[in-house]
Amino acid sequence: MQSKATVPSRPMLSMPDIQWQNYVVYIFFIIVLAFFGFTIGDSGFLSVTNLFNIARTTAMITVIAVAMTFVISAGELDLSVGSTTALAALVCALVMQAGFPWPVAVLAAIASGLVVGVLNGFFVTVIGIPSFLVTLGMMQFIRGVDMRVTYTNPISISNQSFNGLFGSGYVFGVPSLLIWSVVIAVLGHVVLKYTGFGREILATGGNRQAAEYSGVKTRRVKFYAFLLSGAAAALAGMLYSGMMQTARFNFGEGAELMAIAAVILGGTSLFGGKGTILGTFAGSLLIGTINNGLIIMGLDVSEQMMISGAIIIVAVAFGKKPGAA
Amino acid sequence: MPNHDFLEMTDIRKSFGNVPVLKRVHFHLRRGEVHALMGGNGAGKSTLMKILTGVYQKDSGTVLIEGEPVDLHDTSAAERAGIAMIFQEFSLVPTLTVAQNIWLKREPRVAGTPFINNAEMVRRSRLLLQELGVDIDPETLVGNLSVGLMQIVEIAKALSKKARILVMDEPTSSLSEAETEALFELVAKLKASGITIVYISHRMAEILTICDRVTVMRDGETVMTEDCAGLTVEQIVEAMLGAGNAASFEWHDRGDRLDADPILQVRNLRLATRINDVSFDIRPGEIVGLAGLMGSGRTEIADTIFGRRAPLSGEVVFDGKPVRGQSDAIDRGIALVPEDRRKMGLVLDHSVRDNILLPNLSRFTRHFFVRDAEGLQTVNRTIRDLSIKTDGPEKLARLLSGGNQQKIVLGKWLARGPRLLILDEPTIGVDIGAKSEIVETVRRMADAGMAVLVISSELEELMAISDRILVLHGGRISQELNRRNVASEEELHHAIQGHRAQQTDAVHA
Repeated sequence: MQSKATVPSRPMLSMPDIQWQNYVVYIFFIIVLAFFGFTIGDSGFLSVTNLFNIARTTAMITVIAVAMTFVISAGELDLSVGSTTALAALVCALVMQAGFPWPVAVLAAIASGLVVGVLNGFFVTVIGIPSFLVTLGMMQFIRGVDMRVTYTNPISISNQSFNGLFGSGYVFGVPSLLIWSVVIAVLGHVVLKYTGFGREILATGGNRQAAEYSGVKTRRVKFYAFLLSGAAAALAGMLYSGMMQTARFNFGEGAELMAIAAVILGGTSLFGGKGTILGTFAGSLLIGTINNGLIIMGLDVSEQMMISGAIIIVAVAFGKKPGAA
Repeated sequence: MPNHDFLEMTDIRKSFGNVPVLKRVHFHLRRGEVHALMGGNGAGKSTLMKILTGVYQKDSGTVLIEGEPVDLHDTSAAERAGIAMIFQEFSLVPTLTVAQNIWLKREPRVAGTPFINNAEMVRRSRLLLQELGVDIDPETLVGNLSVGLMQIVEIAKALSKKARILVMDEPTSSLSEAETEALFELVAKLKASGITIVYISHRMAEILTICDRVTVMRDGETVMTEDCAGLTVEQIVEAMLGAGNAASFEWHDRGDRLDADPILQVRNLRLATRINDVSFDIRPGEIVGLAGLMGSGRTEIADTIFGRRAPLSGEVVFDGKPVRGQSDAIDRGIALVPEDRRKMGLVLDHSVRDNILLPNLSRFTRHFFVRDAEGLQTVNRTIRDLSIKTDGPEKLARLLSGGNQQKIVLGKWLARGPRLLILDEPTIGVDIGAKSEIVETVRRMADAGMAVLVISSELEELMAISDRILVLHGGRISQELNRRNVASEEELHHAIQGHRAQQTDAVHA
């Protein structure tokens, strides 16, 4: 009786079943690579050194963007990550300068990122202020802290173990920065896709109320997302300072926007509920490749900014589902 | 010159891709009638109405108004033809006033200037609302109105555009009893003034009360158009489901379970909203209905049992121990199918699979990782057991019909094997076929020992499924009726309104 009782369901709007919008970031990546390959391939764009160079310069953004994918998928935003990278870099450098061994400095740096994460999480999930505002204020506040601690003076880092591990070194000829970004991306991918926490993040961002009613502790989930984001920003700060062998208050300026762009380019919904780390990784590489290619083409910084900005908008426009507002 | 009906949609066909959705539809309206359009989900009602309102284009067929072909190539053309849809989900801007909403994009101007003549706009709105016999201040913000009043503003807006045909899609699904009464009066008034109304609803009793004629669709065809007078619910259901398929929506006496210890004891519950002193028990295997007016605090009681809301005083004891918060409730086997499945029940943009797995994640997680293969077995079993109509577990919940969406919400909890299932308005916007399947499933689970609390505004449904019915009135359980002793919906209706029903006995007070 049961199966006979309902009529066959009719297909909804005859939306063509093409899912290419989900792959727009990869398509753009290939187009951009091909374009630069043809135009400036013989100016060294395609050399292994340069490709490694792209991977190295995008590592910080990739690491931040992976954690940002969790935050955005949970329906929130974290603008404080840029200033947090500088904070962690400075904390790390100061602790080493004070004579502590580098692992202590690393832990201190991570802790500083976690503190920012806790504060963001507290104001968003306990006090209930929208994350855009909380982290906007936090971005400003932390940048102020960054400037204050050393009165904007850079601190150099002479510990070669640290520098090698976190930014300047190579393992079997592969830059450690590339290894870091791949490791973080793989970890992020696995956690988002295959763990209960990942599912809860997506459910929280997809429909918070329904997630609540299904027993998901959505405030806790969001809180953890901010912790992740703070920790990742701290790691990015160390990668940056390891590469530059110095720590400086202005590290990571604009990194939050680059990371958000990478996440959205990768196909994660700005409104939460849908996110992919592989897309984010590709989005980050896409931005890095564009910037690198434009530099090799000999364009001025102003021209680079205009072109990369335009490409981001175009790519996101192509990734938009038809009919979606 | 043949005698034409006011609106004639003849031999309408429509396909999406290769799938014919409307095969051969004839839909005629007479001027000034209230015409019910019925059919299961997927029968083609909404497609037909979207063609009438210019959202979709027909593949073939003719549409005549007063014998003249009309152009419905887009929504504004349909509007010019005098056809308006009153949407289920309202298309009003909550932050604008009533008047601003009614005249949006058509605001009267101060003569010869581009400036909006606010006084004139308010005056015209007031006139319009007066004609409708409703007391709404045109200068209040729409966001401050009740759902019932918003709907009336929608109607006023349609009339301000000189609409002659109003399509109302499930207009009472979120209205209280009083608002429903008011709407019915308004419908009668509109009808008297010559407006023709297409009335879409799943509620049989409603249809037979206010409609003149009914057209039933099934599988993309119109299978019946009849006068309502003399028609019975059974005849309509049979037309909707096809001969011989009419699922029984009738009550079974499941016997008493007075000997078992109650699994749920609600003791002197007092809540911040409306509930003063509510006590009742439910025993394993029992199906208890909770009846009461919309807004009487039924949903709040459900939320409290589910641990989402702390009572001011009183307690909820489950299986001998008080319920401490939602996690505790879920862990110990309480499940809630909430009132609004789209808002609280589903992540619409996630797949059927992810939705079913969500409350079951912990069961399929080992060492942090979700065992998707195991989970998928449960998902497939749920889809099969509840006969959820979906192309597969990966289909987005958004793309399923209301009935199938509700089955997902039910299924995701049944997969946990709950000992107490709370259903809050389980069949709103669910077609009759899915509805009886849901009732069937709940009954089966109760037979296996699950306790069930059903909250519903549809008396028909409460009468069909409950062993006992609790009547919530004035913040307490005013009556407890054994279903066996309730002769008719009428009687239950009186009890809910606060009258003492005749010939009822209070079962173990």
